[in-house]
Amino acid sequence: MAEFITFPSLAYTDRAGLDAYLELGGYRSLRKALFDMQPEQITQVVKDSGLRGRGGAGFPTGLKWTFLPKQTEKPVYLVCNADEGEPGTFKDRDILRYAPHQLIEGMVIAARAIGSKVSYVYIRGEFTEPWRAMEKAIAEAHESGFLGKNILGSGFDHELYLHPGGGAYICGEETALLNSLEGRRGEPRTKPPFPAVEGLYGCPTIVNNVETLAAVVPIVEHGAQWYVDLGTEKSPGTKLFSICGHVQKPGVYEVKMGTPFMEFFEQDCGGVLNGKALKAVIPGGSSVPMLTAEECKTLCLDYESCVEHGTMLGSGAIIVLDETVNIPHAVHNLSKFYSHESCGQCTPCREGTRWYEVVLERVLAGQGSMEDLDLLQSLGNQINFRTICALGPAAVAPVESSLAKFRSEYEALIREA
Amino acid sequence: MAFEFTESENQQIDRLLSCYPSKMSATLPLLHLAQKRNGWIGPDVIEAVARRLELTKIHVADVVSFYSMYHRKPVGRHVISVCRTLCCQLVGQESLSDYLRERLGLGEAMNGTDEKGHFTVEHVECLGACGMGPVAIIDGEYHEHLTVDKLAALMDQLEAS
Repeated sequence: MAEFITFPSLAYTDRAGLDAYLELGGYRSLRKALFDMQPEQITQVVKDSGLRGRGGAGFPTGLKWTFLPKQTEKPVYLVCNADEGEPGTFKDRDILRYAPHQLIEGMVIAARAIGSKVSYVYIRGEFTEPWRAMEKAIAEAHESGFLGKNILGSGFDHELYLHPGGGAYICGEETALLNSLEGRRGEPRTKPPFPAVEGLYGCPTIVNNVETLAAVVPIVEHGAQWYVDLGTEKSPGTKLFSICGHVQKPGVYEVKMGTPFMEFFEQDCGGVLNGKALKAVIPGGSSVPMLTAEECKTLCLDYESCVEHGTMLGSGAIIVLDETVNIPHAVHNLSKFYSHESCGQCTPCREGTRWYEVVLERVLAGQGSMEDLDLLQSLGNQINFRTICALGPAAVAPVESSLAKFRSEYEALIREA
Repeated sequence: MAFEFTESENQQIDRLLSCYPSKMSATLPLLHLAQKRNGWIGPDVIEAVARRLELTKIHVADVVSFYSMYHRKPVGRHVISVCRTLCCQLVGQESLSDYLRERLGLGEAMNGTDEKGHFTVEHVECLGACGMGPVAIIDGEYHEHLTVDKLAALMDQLEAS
């Protein structure tokens, strides 16, 4: 059964305060990181733990930290990506609301590892409740000496500031986020240079997701091997999964990597809503290929199993579609999302996402032709590998996977017209 | 009357500016601050923000046009932002939208303000609360597991206040 192991505060919704966090053993890892470990040792334990970016890209966290220049005159920034907006994903919101001190602790530890004196948490503008929870926790942490000058008498200084987004999915892309934090349009930057070399204000910057930074706390406390043993050989540790759509018990669960999907789905989540039959599952947020009910039978919740099934673990957002869902209708909804959220910088993405929306609208309105399906099929080739960031390819995934697996539903709409 | 930041807002802005090495970084926070009181971002707000941050008006206007939370037209007394993305749609968002359109007399339009100027409704993309759908933000706060009855009661209450 799923249980909160590395995010103990998430078992409660009313214990976000400092006292409750200290009762759960909070800020012990910070003491260890400040007094018993050198910065390189912190980075090493995170590397050894195999922790991968939990925002969706899955890049090894410790490795990312080592990309910083060894010597620099410039300040080094740590930025926490709390611009949660991938459809289906709602785990970071709970960390911000219910475990804000774990995030702060993780950030100060990470800051010590990378030598950063200032960090920002970029919180999507709509998240007013998480913002207030973080604001309160930051004040508490300051008062108790976990933040600010000379933290716990260690001589290490760190300030942490909150920054609001303005309502743009693209700002979850790390370089778009940095532009937004600088007060510009949230348009992704061309890479290289990567943020570790030239990020916020042109300075070396590490951008990590909320869950990633919070996961550093138990890793430092219990060690890399403890974390590795929680998961599989290639996907160590645990991960937060948010599950929604046609599921009996939607919510945020902490799951050991490698757990069979059906076991989690039936035992923890109660299966399909109202006892209906399962039609499809989008396992890692709307930007990954969907799976049929049949494919789900052999799926395990880890990076490798998802890849073997032709999809991705992404942000760990599971969207459940039952037998009543018309797949083209659902895909059209997502196409509208991507067309609205494309920043417009790259023509293939700006035009391609719009074409998806328009052509699918035509098919749904009963004015489609079989050639339209070929057109939908071909658009991906004109988007993939031709854009600065991953938003364009993300828009391709639901269309292409649904055409491959549920083509008959599209054809039925055209034939019945 | 042209928009100007109040004294207490200016104090808040001073605190904000101390968080960043660059004034430009405060663009989004200042726009939020202005919209909180003014309801929307018009040319006068853009000018006030540009002046305060020593930026060009075109820079601020460009930023405003990029982000969907900033209203570029006046809004009603209460703003309802309904999530229209897949996860909310799967669990009943469309019935909320139908109800809102009818109650506010919007016809076929998805977004708009009622004649009395009580409510502005807009459809927005994923709000990051997908397991609690359907979700809407009403005057800045999340309302989860919404039904037509719940929404109607909330609106009645707001209308009466």
